[in-house]
Amino acid sequence: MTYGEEMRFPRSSHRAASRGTRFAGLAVVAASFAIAAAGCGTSRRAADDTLAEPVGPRDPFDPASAAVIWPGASDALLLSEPLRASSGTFAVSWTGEFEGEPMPAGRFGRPRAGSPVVVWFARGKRAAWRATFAPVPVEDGDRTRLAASVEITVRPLSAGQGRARLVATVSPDSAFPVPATDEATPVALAWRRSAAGVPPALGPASSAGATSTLVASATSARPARWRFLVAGSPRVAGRLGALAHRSHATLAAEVERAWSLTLATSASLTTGDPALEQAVDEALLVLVGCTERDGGRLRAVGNPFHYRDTWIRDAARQVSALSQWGLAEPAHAIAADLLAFQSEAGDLMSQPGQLDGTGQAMWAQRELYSRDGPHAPPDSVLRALARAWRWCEAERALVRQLAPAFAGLMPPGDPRDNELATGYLFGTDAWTLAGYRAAASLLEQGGEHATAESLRVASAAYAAEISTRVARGRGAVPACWSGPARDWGNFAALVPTGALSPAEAGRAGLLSRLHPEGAQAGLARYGAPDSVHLYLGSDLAVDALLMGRAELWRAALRSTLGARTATGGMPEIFCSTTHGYGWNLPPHTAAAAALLTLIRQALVFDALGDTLRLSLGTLPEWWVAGTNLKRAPTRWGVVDLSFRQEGDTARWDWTPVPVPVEVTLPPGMHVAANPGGGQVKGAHRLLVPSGTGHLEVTCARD
Amino acid sequence: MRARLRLCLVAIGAALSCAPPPPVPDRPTGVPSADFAHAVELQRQGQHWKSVAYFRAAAEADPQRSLLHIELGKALHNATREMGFSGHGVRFAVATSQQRARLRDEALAEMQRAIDLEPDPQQRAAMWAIRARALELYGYVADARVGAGQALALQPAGPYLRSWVAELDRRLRTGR
Repeated sequence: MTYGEEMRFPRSSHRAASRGTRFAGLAVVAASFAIAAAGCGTSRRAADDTLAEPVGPRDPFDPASAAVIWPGASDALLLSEPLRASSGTFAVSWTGEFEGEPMPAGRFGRPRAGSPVVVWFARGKRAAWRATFAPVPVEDGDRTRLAASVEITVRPLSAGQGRARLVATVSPDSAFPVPATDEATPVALAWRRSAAGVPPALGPASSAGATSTLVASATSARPARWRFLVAGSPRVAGRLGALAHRSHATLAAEVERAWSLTLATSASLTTGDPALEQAVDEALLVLVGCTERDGGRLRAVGNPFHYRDTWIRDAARQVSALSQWGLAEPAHAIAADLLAFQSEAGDLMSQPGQLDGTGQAMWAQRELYSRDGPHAPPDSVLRALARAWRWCEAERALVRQLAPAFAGLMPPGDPRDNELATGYLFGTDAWTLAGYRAAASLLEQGGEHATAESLRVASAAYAAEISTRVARGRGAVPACWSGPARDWGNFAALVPTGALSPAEAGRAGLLSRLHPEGAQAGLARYGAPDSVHLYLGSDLAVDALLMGRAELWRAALRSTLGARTATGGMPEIFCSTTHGYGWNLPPHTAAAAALLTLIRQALVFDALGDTLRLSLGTLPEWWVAGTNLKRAPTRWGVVDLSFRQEGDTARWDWTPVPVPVEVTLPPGMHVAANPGGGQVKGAHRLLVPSGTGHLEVTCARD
Repeated sequence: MRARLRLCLVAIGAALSCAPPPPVPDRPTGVPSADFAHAVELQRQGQHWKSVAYFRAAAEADPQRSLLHIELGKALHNATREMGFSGHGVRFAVATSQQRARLRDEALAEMQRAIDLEPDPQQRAAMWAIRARALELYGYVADARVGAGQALALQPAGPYLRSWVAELDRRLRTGR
């Protein structure tokens, strides 16, 4: 294969550079030679790979994009079309032509399922263009930075030889705003070291300016192939030279191995639908990838780009989803970091005016520790929970004293987003109540019986107050108790907060807020009718399962899966008419957490109550192929579940748990005969006693 | 004590004069009046986050002076809200919400310390009001009402305090 004309430089250049030089640019140039040499001798199989289509869904958004992320890395690269890698301060873009045919438009995806590497592939009439972007973590003291190893190939589609030309340009970038930190300083926008500093990207040739033009001959057997290294932030620019000595294939294999090791102990799902299984993997990559390491701490970020900061609202859901899927290590680290928000007074608030943060952070601790085996949380967590509760009680006491009409509630909030209103917000109270119950449970587990009992009493009174207010409002569940506000925290009234009963949630008609039909059926709108939100309605979709409206859950799952980029990223919100997401770039962690919760709680529901619910929400095709969920942590132990339908017999096998288990039949089927002995609950569900681990039911079509 | 207060006032006066300010050193000097002057200069330039180290140094060097703690508290509070350009976007000067939460907490603690140290009722009323305003901006409306009430109790004739307390009462009563 051909590596471009720079391949002809003698390898002795390495030695010259390694001895040190008076020329500032030579070290970088030498690294470029190393880049050019790295792939020599690549096999015929690698040449075949240059035609491999990316794996992943069709990107429904305009523009198409992909994110290069890595767990703990404090930067990320945004990939977009025409081919461009943006760091927020600088970008590298690539254009080119093969025998007069310009580089065509392409699509993103993965080289294979389960890979964190991003592929871009474009097929023209004369040549196929392929770029692979492997995230490369670079340790930088207490932090992890990101670089990307990039390989671009051009393979002719017919016999004979042709000339490929690639133009790589470094330019300023504002694709997304970067945090105000040292790495936000301007960089040398060039391919060569100069007085301005170290270049942020290396390629197979350096040029004096920002544009590097590369020419190579290519045949179908020996495609043109170029290698680049791109820094995720200017801080990494000086480390690219060392990375250049390692081949692209090696670096890509390393990150694939590392990611596969991360997932090795997580819950694993097989449904006979590889696309769904990949969606789960990629959502987990988003959750673990949207974190920043700082020494032993791990900070959750809502998004690798413009939301690169922690909102307790998002991070609590991140902890929950990670714990549901068995990624306990990052879940522990993020949950611990949430407690670092606790003030001297006892509350936890990430953004001014968002008073629901205290309850959410408390709830997140239970989401983690209740699925983490029988041992109690550390004393530091128990103390933090008790302090948080006391702060909430003090705030509610102030409201009783200063605003008797709202006695029993938390004070008015001013979240400055989401509800877009100031006032007594339902979500603040629902989450605070969830926090009380979480604290009661964990304090009990930790042997703090007296405090736990006080919390239980307070929870019961609080729940009664909320129910009374809902009843007084003719059953409506408003976003704000004291005036108009956009729907937000009220959608969490049943799952996950348990602030209301299923009956109360049913009477409130909350499910009517989910779009009933079309491409976005089962999803909620935020504000404008064409603003489709990808996690606002996901709690309602799980509610629908508890309310016997599984068709809404199925619609939500299908719509959510259809609203992912080709690398599995979901934006927070998008426009259903233009399919744009503006500057609210994917991937968003709360959307990824919503997808994972939607699937996990449908298969193994442990979010509320004292009954483990199995196969509460399923797709018909999952029963045909048979579904396996392995190593799913629940509040009653780690559960393996498998189910299948053969003819008119549905079978379930699961790890026995010490609580009753409710089993739901395949969609559209009812119980015809019940030789297994479960108690029939309606036509579609059976209740079996604790300790059971197998059930067979003869079913018939509804 | 009076001599140090004079030093502070001189420093503020110098900072507010028309003459070009002296360059701010990279780190606090350890001389309270100089550090306070540098802090005020940075504050004038809108560099609240940078000013914190200098206000802190001044307060640590003279820990019993309430003025220095209230100024440090205000600087910490301003730092949580300071915006600036980063790359090509507008971002918080203090990059992470964890850091900003810690600064908020420290700001309230420093303001409370100032209140506890301040012997003069009128000054104390002003400090209660400053702390209550910070609480209001952080979204703690009920706590802000309590703090504003403390200020009003010390200065019952203050028209601003009276109308502000009335406004906080209205917000709590109506939620709007």
